[in-house]
Amino acid sequence: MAVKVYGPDYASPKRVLVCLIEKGVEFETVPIDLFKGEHKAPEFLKLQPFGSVPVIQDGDYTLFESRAIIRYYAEKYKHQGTDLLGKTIEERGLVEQWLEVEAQSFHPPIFDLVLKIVFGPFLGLTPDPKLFKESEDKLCVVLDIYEERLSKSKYLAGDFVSLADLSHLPFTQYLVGKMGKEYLIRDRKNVSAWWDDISSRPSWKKVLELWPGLY
Amino acid sequence: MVVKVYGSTRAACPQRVMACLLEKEVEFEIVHVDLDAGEQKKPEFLQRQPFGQVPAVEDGDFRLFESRAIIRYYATKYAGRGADLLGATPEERAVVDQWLEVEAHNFNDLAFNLVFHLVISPHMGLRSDLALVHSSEQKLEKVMDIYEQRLSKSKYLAGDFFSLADLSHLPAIRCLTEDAGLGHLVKERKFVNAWWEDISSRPSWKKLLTLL
Repeated sequence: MAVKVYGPDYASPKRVLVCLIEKGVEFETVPIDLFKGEHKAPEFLKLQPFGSVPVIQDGDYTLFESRAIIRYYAEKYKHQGTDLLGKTIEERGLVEQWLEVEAQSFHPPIFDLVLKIVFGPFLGLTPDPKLFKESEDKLCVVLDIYEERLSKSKYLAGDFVSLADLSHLPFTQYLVGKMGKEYLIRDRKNVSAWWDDISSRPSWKKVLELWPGLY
Repeated sequence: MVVKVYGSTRAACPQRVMACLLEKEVEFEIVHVDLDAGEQKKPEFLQRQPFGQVPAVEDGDFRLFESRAIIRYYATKYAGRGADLLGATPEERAVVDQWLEVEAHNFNDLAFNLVFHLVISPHMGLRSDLALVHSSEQKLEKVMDIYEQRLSKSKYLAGDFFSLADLSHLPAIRCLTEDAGLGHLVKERKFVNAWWEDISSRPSWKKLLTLL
């Protein structure tokens, strides 16, 4: 039975999609229209009480939070497809560290920029340049740290691609697209090379082809 | 070799790590970082943790930062020792990760806003943003309603076993209830209250409180 992934048109579910493709796990997608408020419908809230996407159903098993889902499948299918967790407990620890960095330090400012610049017009939000600057400055601080890290390490957790790198794909894809903020990546030599590497993986190209969303 | 935990016993994120190490019966020593003096932003500490945040750990040659990564690492490394904080199966572990993500994304920022503006700002002589306090409290009430629903069906967040997901909440809820005067968030909810009473009376948490 194929895994069902809800909300493929949006960024966070794409974290799950790219991981499942890397692991060679069969899945089907169930569209959820956030603009129509389908994520707040009672049937959906039974699956995900916070009303967010993604959520997965794997037979009787339900799981939400994209970074929990990718950890689960990366571990469950450890010996299949790309190894995304490193080889030792210590390597896994470093994967967890940089996945937490993505979640705690990278995600909040980039999410804010994407919400305001990409989704703002659809949500009737008035763009506030001052609020762009604050988030952009915060993102620059994080990207400078990445630049330093990636000058010593091919990927974030070490010399192997991992969940920590893949977790950056969905929102960074917005950055290099219509937002006009690609310079944030291109101005940084090591971040730029890393981005080109991870975004040219066949798994990510497949995600972009099948679920282009608002990219 | 004793694990070195860089941070302050009074800061929430180091407490998360210490609580886990106590549960796993892993010996550690605290290397104090003077947060009031901004030691965490000085070049020497930034070598250890480039974001200038506590905690960071040093375990022989191995270094790690981000409290929720550190607790996952030790819970995995010492799976057979002390309390089992990750569940018995990959499916149970994933539900632990799910609620740990919920704590990090849905609970933590709101709790931090409240603690920062109600407890830390006054202590540092800064002005508090009361509008943010109000809106954060309202949002946190809604989150706690979801926890109430979950805990009405499940003894702990991830299932019938205490896990990293429950442990991760200990520092912030202690601060919200004892220092920020927001005990009602817990007390007004029957299942959340029972859960809080349970997890906060664990010997390892009580031991940690003696270290503050």
